[in-house]
Amino acid sequence: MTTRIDYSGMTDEALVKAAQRGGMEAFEQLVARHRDKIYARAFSMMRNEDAAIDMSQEAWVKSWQRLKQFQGEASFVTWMTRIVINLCLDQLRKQKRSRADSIEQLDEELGGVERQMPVVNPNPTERLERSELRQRIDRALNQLSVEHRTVLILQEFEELEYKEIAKKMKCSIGTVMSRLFYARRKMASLLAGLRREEFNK
Amino acid sequence: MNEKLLKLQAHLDGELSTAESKQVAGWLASDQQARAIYEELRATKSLLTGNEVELKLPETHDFYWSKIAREINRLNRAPQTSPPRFSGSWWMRLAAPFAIAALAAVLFISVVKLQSGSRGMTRYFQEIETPLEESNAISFHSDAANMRVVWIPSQEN
Repeated sequence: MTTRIDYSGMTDEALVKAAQRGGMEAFEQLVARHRDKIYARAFSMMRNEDAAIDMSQEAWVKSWQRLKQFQGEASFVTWMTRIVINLCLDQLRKQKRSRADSIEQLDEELGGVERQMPVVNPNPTERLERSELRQRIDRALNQLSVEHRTVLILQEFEELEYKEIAKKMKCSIGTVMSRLFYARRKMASLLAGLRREEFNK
Repeated sequence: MNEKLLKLQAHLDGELSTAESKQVAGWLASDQQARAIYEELRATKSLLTGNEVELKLPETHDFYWSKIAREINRLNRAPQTSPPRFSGSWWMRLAAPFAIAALAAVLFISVVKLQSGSRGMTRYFQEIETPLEESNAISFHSDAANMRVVWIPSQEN
């Protein structure tokens, strides 16, 4: 008689060790546990449901292949998130090669746009429920260019340092700083606009 | 872009050295415009922190996992086709083409010497020739064995 192992009660570390020994069921448990977070990160970058599903599944397959390299320096979910971010960045770079730069990007590269924006107070929290605020932040992120949204996600949500962001985005630290500055100012203006809409209702 | 503005932001993100942070603190104390921009950046940052939208995977676990499992199984079954990796140090990698060229030169010289030097050695060379190509006949000749064989296939058609 075979004994069924209950993977649901195991820690990530124990599941990773079991998966490193070839245990597919342990790996499936890791997927079940973290699939939403990995999908959400892919979606935040790709802004497309199908692309986000594909990227996240590819990330899981890649992590299985590289599982023996995982030494536990960071948590498993942090390691997985880095994999899906790298895959999304590669995909976005491929897409970028086949499309022309937006006018917004050209404006940014010419300089000065962010300085022309009036200073605003981007604080719409007074009248909003948290879930609604999150939805509105997400909609504002959706209005940014790929480069500005990505730099904001990596800095604000993944809490990466400038040099790590520059390495991932294959650009200089100076470019990271200017993109981040522009992205924050644009977000401030979009969120302040939301507040004005709220008051006009 | 204005370096001062970027330094304000770097201060907010904790990316400056102690000396640079002191410089920025001086600007914030004396420059109202710098203070206003800094406040906007700070408010935006605090608004975003912890407020990322929470999304759920729009597929059932079984459906989502099935594609991952299928791909993993396919990879596990696939033969390892990657070529053997050269694991030498950098100087060995650098010297490898020269070593190959030297070996080829030695072999070439040996063959030339063998052919032109000792006539007695030529007896070991054997030939396969096709004197009558249209008839598909093949002949085999060996000096060492003092023999010649001609094979003519039957013309069935």
